[in-house]
Amino acid sequence: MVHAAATSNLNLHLSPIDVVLIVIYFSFVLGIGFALKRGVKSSLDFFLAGRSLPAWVTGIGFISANIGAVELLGQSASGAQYGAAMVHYFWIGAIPAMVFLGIVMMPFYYGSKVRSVPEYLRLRFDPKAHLINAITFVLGSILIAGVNLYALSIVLEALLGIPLLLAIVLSATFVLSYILLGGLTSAIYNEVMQFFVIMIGMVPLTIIALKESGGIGKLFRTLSAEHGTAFIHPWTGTGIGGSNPVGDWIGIILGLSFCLSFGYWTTNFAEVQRAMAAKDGHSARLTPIIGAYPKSFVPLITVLPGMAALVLLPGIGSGGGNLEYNQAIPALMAKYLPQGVLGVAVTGLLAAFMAGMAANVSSFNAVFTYDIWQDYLRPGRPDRYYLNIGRWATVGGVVLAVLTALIASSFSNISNYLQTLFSFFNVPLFCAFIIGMFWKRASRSAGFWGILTGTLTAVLVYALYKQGVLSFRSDLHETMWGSIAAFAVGAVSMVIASLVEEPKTNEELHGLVYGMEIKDRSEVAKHAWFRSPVVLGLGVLVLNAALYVSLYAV
Amino acid sequence: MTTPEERPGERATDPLALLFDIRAFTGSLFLIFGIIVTIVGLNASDADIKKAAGVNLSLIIGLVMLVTGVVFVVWLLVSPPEILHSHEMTEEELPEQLRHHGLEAIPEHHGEAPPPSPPTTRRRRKGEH
Repeated sequence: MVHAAATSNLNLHLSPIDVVLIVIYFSFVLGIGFALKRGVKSSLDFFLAGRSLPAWVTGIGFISANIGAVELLGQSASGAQYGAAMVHYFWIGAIPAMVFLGIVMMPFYYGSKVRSVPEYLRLRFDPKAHLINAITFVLGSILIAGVNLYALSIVLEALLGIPLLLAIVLSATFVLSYILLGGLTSAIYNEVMQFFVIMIGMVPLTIIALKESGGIGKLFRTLSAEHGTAFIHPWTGTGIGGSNPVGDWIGIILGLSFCLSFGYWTTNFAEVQRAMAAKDGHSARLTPIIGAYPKSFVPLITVLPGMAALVLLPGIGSGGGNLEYNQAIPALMAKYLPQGVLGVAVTGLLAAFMAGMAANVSSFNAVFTYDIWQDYLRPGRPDRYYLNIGRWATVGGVVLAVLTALIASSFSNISNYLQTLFSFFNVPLFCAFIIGMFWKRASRSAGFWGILTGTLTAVLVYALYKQGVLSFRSDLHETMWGSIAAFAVGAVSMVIASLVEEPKTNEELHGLVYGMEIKDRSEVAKHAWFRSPVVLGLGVLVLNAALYVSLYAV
Repeated sequence: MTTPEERPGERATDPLALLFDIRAFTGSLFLIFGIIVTIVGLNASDADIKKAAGVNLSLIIGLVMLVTGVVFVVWLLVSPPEILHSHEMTEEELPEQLRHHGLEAIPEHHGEAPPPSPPTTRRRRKGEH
């Protein structure tokens, strides 16, 4: 997807007013960094915003960190390619996972006061499990930051005519400055601002796209006539042996939802870090749940315009000199948004790319400093020392991301393969967390063996699929079943490893396993029902069921 | 632990607290964006309106952003930032193996005694070695 925008001459022709809006926004971005600079006094301020932010801020940051390059353009592209089935990634994938994180897992993350996701593994299992997670996370973050940076620069080059190299350095400098100045607080504040700007840009675009295609009813009838009903009805054709491109219902529920989405949303430190920045345990639990509400509507402004683009932009995705699926959103913007609004929408798009990269950099520096430098290389120094290391890690991380972006610009396949490689770690990691949290008997080396064997299984299934030994409906379908296999093998090895080893003592497990959570005053206190994580969590699940039903009612 | 008094821009009585709140940034951004885009909308040509499916999109979005900006500013004034860390748990309340042994403390802070942290203390679980 990454080079999509470069291959055709889609230029947005911004008016001076649009450019002024973009410049104003980016002065705000830097302004936030400078304003927050004096608040950064300790490593905890820098890496976890001093655990001081209210739930609505961390909640918006939580989803905004994920609305980056791949997500925004990628999901609209998948909407155009696969149709309505892409909503599964949200309504049965991300949202239940976010609710689960908030209700079930957050007390362990926040209550134990771990400062990163890998740190939990060190306390619950052993340094082997910790290192495998910390190292893959650090490498994966840099890679994804680089890919995000490259994608952003390609958009800058294609839409605004800025040369690629200049675009890469310019965007990297922006991200570097505001994280260096304000740390995680700066990153989260920018994510909140970016969220509102992207909404202001995307909502009208979607409404106009639907209006131009004759309303959602007419759009769905047209698409259904051309591509079959599975294209507009997400559950149609999901039986075993059916035709839905996303796969069968077992794969969707067990693979996509339980393994893949739970794996990503509950163990990815770039996300969980936002919740750890919340001011108390109750706010931390609310973080992903508050984020889940706007997240439920994100497919309506990404997948839906992608589907509308099939009607509005004839020839899209058909190859040759035509537009590619990834260009659906920018092309719709160019076609329908008048000056002023176009400036706001492009600002949102650029901000989204930048936030994606910033999220990776700000979680990279925390894991590098706390989990690698402090734990294994230079332990026991004063806090100021680690704050400085964190700042240098930020510089180093951005420089490496720039190099990755430059490499990606000449060998984009390598970065695709590497991204696939790192994705293999997700599901076994989730397996280790969930078993570690809920099965007291899981012993110290169980985490390492679960992650290792699970990852190898995911790689094996992928290799067999690529060699043609196993066959699936699509790459997505393979990913789902590969995840199920990885989870199962990981779980079995964890059980075996635990049975041959002595269990950890209750004292060692305090605050880390089910039944021994540490709750602070905010969690024990009485809250109004509309502030209860459980009520809000169930509410968003009901909302998603209703959204599914409404797709069929159109 | 960081005490609220030590954190500039976070006390309710601190005038900077209002300026450094995210609602101040977002509110002022949307007020500026709103004013600019509303003016563009007021001067929209027929071609602009025709481009956006027959609606004066700039005017509508400009006004929406103005209202959003006002909402953020009013919200900020009605409920100024609280003193944070009200529910913060101190390291001493944590069980031994979860404590970071003063590594989160900030010796640079005035008026806050640095907790005892012998440089040799590693943040390790008991009995790991």
